[in-house]
Amino acid sequence: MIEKLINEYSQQAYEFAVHLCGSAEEAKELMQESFFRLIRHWDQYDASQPLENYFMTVMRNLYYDGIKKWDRGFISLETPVAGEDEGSVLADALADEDAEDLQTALERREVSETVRSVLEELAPEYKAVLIMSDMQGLGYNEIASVLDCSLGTVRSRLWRARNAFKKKMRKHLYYLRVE
Amino acid sequence: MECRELKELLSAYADGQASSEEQVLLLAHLEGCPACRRELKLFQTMKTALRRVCSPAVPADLRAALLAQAARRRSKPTPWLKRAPVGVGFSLAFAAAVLAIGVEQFESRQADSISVDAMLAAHNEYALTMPLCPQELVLSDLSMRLR
Repeated sequence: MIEKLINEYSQQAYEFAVHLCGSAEEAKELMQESFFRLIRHWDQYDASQPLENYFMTVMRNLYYDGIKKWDRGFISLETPVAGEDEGSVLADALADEDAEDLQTALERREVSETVRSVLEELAPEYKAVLIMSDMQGLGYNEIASVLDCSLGTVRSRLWRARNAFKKKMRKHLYYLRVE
Repeated sequence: MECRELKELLSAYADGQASSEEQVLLLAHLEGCPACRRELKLFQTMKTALRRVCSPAVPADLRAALLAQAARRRSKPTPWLKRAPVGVGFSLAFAAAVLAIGVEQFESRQADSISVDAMLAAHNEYALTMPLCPQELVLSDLSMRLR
């Protein structure tokens, strides 16, 4: 069962870790530590849940526990709204005039690096849902299982995450233009 | 319905996670609202842009390390006793203690029976060296004691 997890799901788990931590080295460390915990606390695993989801839950919990270590651009989980609103004065000021620009920018392939940087700056909860939903294509049920929350929470968190992403992206584009 | 009330639904719709009732509601709104249509398009483009971000492959050494760790776990004996309920553990411990006491008793009896045999053998050997009339022995022994 564990070998199957490694052979079939380590890529998905590694992607999640890399985008969560923002660095390959730290992602590796997070994966190994999570795997060690999975094995050590094997009796806590509920076999009715897919093992890959449970492993991602372990990883996510460990990431949140050691957030200062793994996420240098940390924004407090206690204040997601503040995190979301960071830079919103500028973003809102730019919102109307830049709506088309943002759309155009996101459509360009070269913007990938900026998209990655924006993702890294997001609050961890927002980052986690966007990675799972948009980068890995997981459904709301799977995300809810990993995050151990309701479908309604997944839905509202994704919406807030997208708004936060939008605002930060606008800010990045503004600075890119200024430079 | 106002745009503000539909924002969250727009995001769910972009994910293909809106219910059929919600879809009907939203599509009716979108027909007359260019701002929400723009917002929906932006969410969809955002999803595509995020999907395009490259994800590195799992490093071979990491995969190997995880497989080795899994193999180490498999080679360890299952700690079944740890997982047994407390009552079962206690009963097993009690049974083991009773068995240990039983074995000890049996061994000590064995030891006793050997010493009795040895004593009988010694006694017989000694008896062969004595005079044939037991009364004489008793009397001589008694007279010696009285003296």
